[in-house]
Amino acid sequence: MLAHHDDHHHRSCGCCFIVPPRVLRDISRDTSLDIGVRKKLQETFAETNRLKVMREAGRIATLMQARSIAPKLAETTPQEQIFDCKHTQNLPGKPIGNPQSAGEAASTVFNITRQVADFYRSVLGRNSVDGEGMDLVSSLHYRQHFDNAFWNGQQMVYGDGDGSVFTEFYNSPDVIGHELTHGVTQHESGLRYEGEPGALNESISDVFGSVFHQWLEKWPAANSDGWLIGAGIMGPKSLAKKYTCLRDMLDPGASHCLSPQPGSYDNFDPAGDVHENSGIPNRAFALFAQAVGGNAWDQAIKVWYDACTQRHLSSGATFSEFKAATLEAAAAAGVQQQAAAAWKAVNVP
Amino acid sequence: MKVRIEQRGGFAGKLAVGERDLNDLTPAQRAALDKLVRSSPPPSPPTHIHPLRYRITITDHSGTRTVDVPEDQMPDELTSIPEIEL
Repeated sequence: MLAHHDDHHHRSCGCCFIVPPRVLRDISRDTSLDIGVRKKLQETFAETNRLKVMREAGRIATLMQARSIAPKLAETTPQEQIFDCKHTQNLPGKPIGNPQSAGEAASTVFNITRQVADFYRSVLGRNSVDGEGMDLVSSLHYRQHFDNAFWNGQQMVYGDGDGSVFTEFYNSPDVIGHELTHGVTQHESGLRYEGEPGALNESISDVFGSVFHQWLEKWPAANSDGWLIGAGIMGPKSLAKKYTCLRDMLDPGASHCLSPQPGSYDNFDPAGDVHENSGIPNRAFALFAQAVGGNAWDQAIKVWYDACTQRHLSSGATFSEFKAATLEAAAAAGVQQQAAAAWKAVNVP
Repeated sequence: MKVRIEQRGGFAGKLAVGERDLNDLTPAQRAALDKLVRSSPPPSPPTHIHPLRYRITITDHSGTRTVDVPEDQMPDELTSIPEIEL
């Protein structure tokens, strides 16, 4: 069984590569083996390379920041840089000199991205995605009718959507917060993007993205609007079908969700997409935040941030291990009972 | 003779599917499809979080062929074919 070597301290041993990737590749070329076995070997070989690329992207992103051998005298303030891909795949694209007066798209992304940085600094004491003031680069108008937005290890990229099911992907502040949080996770636990760690990676982005949006709008945790992911990117076809959001953290299986999810570990799907199973820890956080009461950014999000950054979360963390980390963090904050009840409600062991 | 394109993954994680008769493709779409099938892109690791993934199935007089295509190698001429069913 393949395992993955973890650079971080972790409460349960991540695995190490027992079979070198090149051996997988060489064996997969053995024509005397069953074709199904060879395919599996090829997929595993591809996956190990994926892991290497993801880690290398993170390492390079970290190294790209200028490092001085002298102690920093002042903290670096992140700058927001906006680029236009002109509907191509070229990244980062053409720089937009004055984004705040360069049209709605550029000014929206510029302003909201700056506010995400403000949120991380003022609420969580974190200086940008890497904790050291890295500039936040965003590219707009990526490809044509592109139904996606992503963090590529170094920057944000936004598609314009197909105009029917989805509108431009920067139209929801929670989406912008979600994507930038992938960068935070990259610099912290580095949760692997598959299985339970992948679903946690997605959930953590939804959690911080939604609380950022709540902070922006001054919505208390009791306001159900604050738990919707992607409400602003619903296109006319989606709205006509009564879909109000992509995901609902409080009610993951609701009929108004374009992408309904399970809300209990009893319905965890081992073969499911990471965006499906993330509904389980999403609901745990939403219930926790409502149980704590008030604004989610005052206490609940700080407990989750503590769990993500101070509890030695492994890149292969399971739901149970993440739950344990949040319970430790919640105990330190005096709200362990609320956290325990939330995890019990979603049946995570 | 037809082509079926499935799109999975992405931020939304929604399945999108589209089918076309090969004769109904525009010249640009047909050229892009032929080039893709000839080059048969090898499996490659994703370059970013939540990539889109495509599976193209072509059924013609020579049988059925399937090609898996990563997002960054999928031509824009073909990405409009799969649609999310609501």
